This record gives sequence, structure tokens and C-alpha cells, in this order.
Amino acid sequence: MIEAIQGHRPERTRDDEVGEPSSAARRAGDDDADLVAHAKHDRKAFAALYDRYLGPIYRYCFSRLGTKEAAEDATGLIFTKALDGLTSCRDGHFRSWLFAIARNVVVDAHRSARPAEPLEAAAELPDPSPSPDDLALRADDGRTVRALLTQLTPEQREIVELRLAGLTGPEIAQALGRTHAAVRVAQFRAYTRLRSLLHPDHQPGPERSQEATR
Amino acid sequence: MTIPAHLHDDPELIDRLDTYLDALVLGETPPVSLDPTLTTTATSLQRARIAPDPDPTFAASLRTHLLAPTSTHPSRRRFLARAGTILLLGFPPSSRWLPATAFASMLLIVVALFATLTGGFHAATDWFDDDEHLESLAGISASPTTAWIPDPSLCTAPPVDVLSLAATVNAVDPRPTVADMTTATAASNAADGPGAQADTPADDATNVAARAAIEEWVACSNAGGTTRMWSLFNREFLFRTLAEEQGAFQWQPDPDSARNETPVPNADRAEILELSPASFLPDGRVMIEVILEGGERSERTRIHANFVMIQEDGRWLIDGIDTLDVSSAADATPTPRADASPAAVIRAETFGPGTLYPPGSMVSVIKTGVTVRAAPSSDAEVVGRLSPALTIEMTGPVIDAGDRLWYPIVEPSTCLAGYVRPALLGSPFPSELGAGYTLGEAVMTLREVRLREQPSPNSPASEIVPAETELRIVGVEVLDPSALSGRLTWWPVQDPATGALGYVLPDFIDRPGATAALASTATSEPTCVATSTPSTSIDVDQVTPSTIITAGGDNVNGVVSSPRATATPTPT
Repeated sequence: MIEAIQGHRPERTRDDEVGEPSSAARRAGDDDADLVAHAKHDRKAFAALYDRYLGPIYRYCFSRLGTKEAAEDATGLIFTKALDGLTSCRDGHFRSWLFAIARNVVVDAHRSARPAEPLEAAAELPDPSPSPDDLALRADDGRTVRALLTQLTPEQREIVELRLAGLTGPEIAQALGRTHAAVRVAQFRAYTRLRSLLHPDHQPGPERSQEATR
Repeated sequence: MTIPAHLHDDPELIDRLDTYLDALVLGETPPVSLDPTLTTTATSLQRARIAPDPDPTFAASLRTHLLAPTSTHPSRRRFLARAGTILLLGFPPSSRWLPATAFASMLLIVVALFATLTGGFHAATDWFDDDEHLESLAGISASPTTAWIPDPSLCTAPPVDVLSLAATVNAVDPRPTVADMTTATAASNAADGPGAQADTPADDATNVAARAAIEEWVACSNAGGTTRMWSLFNREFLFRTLAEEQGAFQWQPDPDSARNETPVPNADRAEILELSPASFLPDGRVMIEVILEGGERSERTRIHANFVMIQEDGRWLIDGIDTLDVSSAADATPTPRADASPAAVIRAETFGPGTLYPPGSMVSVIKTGVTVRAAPSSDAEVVGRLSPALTIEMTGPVIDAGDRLWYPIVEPSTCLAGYVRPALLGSPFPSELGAGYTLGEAVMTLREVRLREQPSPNSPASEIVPAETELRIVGVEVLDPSALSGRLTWWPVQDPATGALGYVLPDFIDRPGATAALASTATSEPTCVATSTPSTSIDVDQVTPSTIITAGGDNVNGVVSSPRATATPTPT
């Protein structure tokens, strides 16, 4: 999933509390920034950005909209808007900016949301009878994951889907117009909720005692 | 009783998970470790292929399409407008499709289109606002006219056969394929050839006939003739709209609907406020700017829309509706909801500049049709409108225009830039920790609190309110500008008993129903702290927002002070 956007991400050090991009993300942003700068003057230079992000954007749309047709329509709109609005993209923020566009397009698409997808997805929810190991293994399965995501709040689901699309915490915050702190909290609840679904036998406890320190 | 650490959101675990996930998506070795089950959850999800790769044919086609030198051609924009429409579907079940009054039906159609066409509003406006057309379209000034109510007798259109219409509609898959995209574009290119007329005022005959069709459409609305209104739509547009909107539902119309027409009472009839002269679009259709008002007298709704008309067999039919604005007729400018006492309602902006949206913050639009103006003035030119849930960026500091505040913004997906009023926007940082109160909602204080004159712990207190006092929310949650971590937000409230206004931290208020339980919890759990930091006395000047106690997977708001000295906001 992230192969299309890997390869330009050096080591990352943790950054601050105010939602600034990490150093790795900044360097990735610099890489994009060069392409964006070229594309602002040469339309053909947009091709590299398109090639890099088509996969993540399409998969994000597919996971949000549920069908190939809707995902293709949305993807077309997103890249057209991005191309048309490239001059407004700030340096180093292309990825979060692109996903903010994607998010807006998907929100538009969901404005008259149909119940079909969640119901279909709900039908694919993991059978509670399998063992936790089975479920964990099945978590690799896309359909199972999509079904699991329906168990989250819309906001939590959005965050997880952006995570699965390869965005970092600060980038998700930028794409959603939220603070990094808010995203972190919602993200934590989402993953602990998913854990409870995948590992129903898990006994909550003082986890920090089980974990290695940084 | 002390609440176990695992039952609330431990800030350290939150940070650790975030660090872990960042490393995961960056393809790095996580510098921290998690609980094994959480590790498995995170890695399994990240490995999963939750969606397929894009079809290579689609990818290549879109790539070619985007990079083609001709891709700015209006025909491409037209296609995209349609594609945007297609994305945004949803159709009321059949029992709700034929409402009691035709104006309601008209509203349903128009509002649905508003939610669809203008959901892809920017795509739709591309259709109209294309570079070379912008000036000419802007030149369609709605000529001042006297509002009039088209009489039902003007409706002479026959009703459509809803059963055959439904059979057709339900058989249609409105979604275009990639091949359709290419074909449609090519066809549109051909249609926009040298023979097409371009943005010229319509001749008198066209003007009169096209405007008369809209007048008849409104007359049919007043006659209660929903199905006769539909007959004034171009068939393709009607099919497309109904087919798109029928979505997952199979449309099963009432076959007797045409016989069940009931004229709308005089007081509730729709009226035409403005009807601009018609102007030709490049493809030979015409556009007319319309302002309508209708609905029950107590709840009149105003609709501002561009109607695209097409001539078929000598008749002008509606071929598209681009709704620009839908608002209450009583107050075209969005106002605080009616359930808030007018005396208690104050605009959040009255709390002063700079308190709401710092430059660079991203904000959600919460109102329909938020107007974006070219300058910070209510008289400035409208350069666009924003749909709800869009995210916009604040590009500069607030501007105090005297009676109102304005923020410079840009909508990143379209680069729409201009000025908006903050009352139309959401909280910049909707609280993860709070309850998301609405304007006018009653809340109870959980303890003695100070009402701060500004959203800052360093601001003087206008009043000290005892515990279990009912307050009213009078604005949107705001970020403390001195706490850019986003961890500190404030709610503007009013004490109804004294009229005092001020800001309180979300920690110290809650909905009335929750107060008793929380008060009980608070008294029985005096050592309820989030960290191992020694408990201190809770003071509004020194606490961070509460964390959420999570029990059994459900969130339960609780008062858990986190007296971390490092998080104490600095003075502005």
C-alpha cells in the first residue's frame, strides 16, 4: 500500500506537539515540493506526482466509497482539482494537501450516504467464534479490515484509513483540519477498539509495564 | 477508588502508538514497542490490502486526460461536473419521494441537487465559471423585478407517466465508465465546435420562452403538480437525476400521484423574486439566474439558482439546476439556531478578534452555502460558496470590519479564496475531549468555575459560578491562542441568572444528565488522576483538559485532572 510513496522517506525523528511535520515527512515534502514546483510551470511534470499518488488516492477512495466506479470518479476529480489548484499548494505539504482534497471529495460523495456499503460490510464481520489467532491472521484480509472499520466512529475510521493510505500523524491532522493532538487521541481509541475486536481475549491492563521504554 | 491507568487515555500510550504508526507507514523500524496485541493489530492492518489497485486502463486514461494540452477545454469541465454529480447520490425511499406539497418536491429536487451538484459545487461551478465564460456569466445581473406568484392556472404541462418513468429510471445505471469519459469528452468537443453560440444575451423570443418555462415550472409547483413539474425537465436530465438518485433504492412511485394534486394554499405558494435575462451558453443552451421563495409561510425558504434550459421540439425545458444558495427567507444570512434564546445568543465573534481561528488553521464549514466574498464586507462581490463539511484554511489574521469580523480563507481543493464570517464555520479544533455542545444548549458546572473574559486562563474572570449551575452555550468552542498544542479549548457560555458571559474549560461543564453521575464519581474518587503525578488541587488556571475515561470500549466523560506543569498554557 505504501510502496508508491516509499523510497523518499529517510529516518524520522519525533517532532513536537503542535502538529508540525516530522523531519522525515518534511524531507518527503521537499521531494514532492520539487515536483510541485516544476508542475506549476510545466503541466507534464505533474505526471510524476500522479504516478506517485494515484495508488494511495485510489485505494483511499475505494475504501471510503466501496465501489470501483465511485473510486474512479472520485480519483479523477481529486487529481483534476489538484492539478487545477496546484498553485495554491504550499511547499512541503503536497501529500496532506492532496489528501485534504480527497477527503473533501469523499465527504461530498458521502453527503447523501447510502446504507448499502456498511450493511454489506457488516455481513462480512468476523465470526466471533474463531480464535483470536484466526482473527489476527484474517486481519490481513482486506474485506475483514473494511468490515472492522465499520465498527469505528466515522472520525476514527477516517483517521485509520488515512493511516492505511500511508500518512503520518501530522499529515493526517493537516488533511483533516485537526490538531495532531486530537488525531492522536482519536487514533488511539480507534486502534484499541480494533484490538478489542481482533483480540477479544485481550485483558486490558497496565500496558506500560509490558512495554519497552523508548 | 483509583481509576486504573488502562481505563483512560494515557497520554504516553497515545504518543507511543502514534510514533509506532508513523514509523510503520514510513517503512522504518519503530523506535518504541507496544503491547503485543496492539502491535499485531497495527501491523496486520497496515499489511492488509483494504482496496485493490486502480485499473491500469483507468490509470492510463486518467493520466492522459489530465496531462493532455486540451484538458482545460470547457467540455472536460462539463464532464467533470457530471461526474461530480454522479458521485453524490442518495435518494429518498419511494414513500418520501412525492411529498405533500409540490414546492416541497421542488425543494427536494433543488436541495438534492444542491447537495449533489454543489456538493461537487466547485466542479459544478467550473462548468459555469470556466475562464472565458466567467465575465460574461457574471454580467448576467438579475434585473430588478417585482416578485410575483405564478398562478397554478399557468401550469399547462401534462403530467409524466410515473410508472413508465420509474421503469426506465430503475433500469438505468447512470454511472459513466472511463470509456464514457473519453466518449463524452469527444462528443462535447464536437458539440462545442464552430457552430456553437457563445455567452451572448438571448434574443427576445428565446428570452421570453425560456423564462416562461421556469415560470410555468413554479406555477406547477403551486398547483401541486409534482409530476407536471417533471415534464418540464429535459428527459435526459430527469432520467439522469432520478436514476442517479435512486441509488440503492428501487423507485416505486405512487401511480395516483397525478390525480392527487392539491393546489398549494395561497399563503404558501412559491414566488419568483428575481429572474434574470437569459444568456446563451456555448452549446446553445441558455442560462437564467433565478431567486425563488416558497414553503409554508412560517418557514419560507429562499433558493438562488442558475437554471440551464434546453430547447426541444420548440419547447424550452430545464436541463440543469446549479443551486447557488438555499437559505431561510426570513433571514438569508445564517443565524444561530432558534432553540437558543435570542437574548442569550451572542456571536462567538463578539468575544474579540484573534480568538477563533489562528492563521494557518484548518476549519470545517458547518453551514450550507457559506458565502465567500472578495473583500471583508457584506457588500463585497460574492466569489463563491462553500458546502458543509469542506475544510478550509485560514490564510491570515482576522479582520475587524466594524460590525463584523472576517477571516481570509482558501478552500484548498479549488483554490477558492476570499473572506468569510466566522459564525458560519465550525470550531477550528473540535474537541476530542468535550461533548460537542450546540448553540443554546444547557450545561451544568461540575465544580466552582470562573467565567473568563477571554479564552485564556490568564484572562480576568467576569464571574465565579458555583458548582451545579446551569449555563448556556453561546458560541462555538474556541482554541486558546496561548495553547497552540490544541489541548486547551474553551466554550463561550452565559450564566442565565446573571447574564454574565465568559469562557469555561470543557473539563468543568457537562450536560445536565451527566452531571449527577459525574458528581457522584468525583466525590467517591477524589484521587482520580491521569498520571502518577501527585494530585494537586484543581484550579482553572493550572489544569489541562480532561482526559476521557474509557471503560469497556465506550467513552465516558469524566473529570480527570492532568496537572502537568509543562502543559500549563503560557500567557498571550
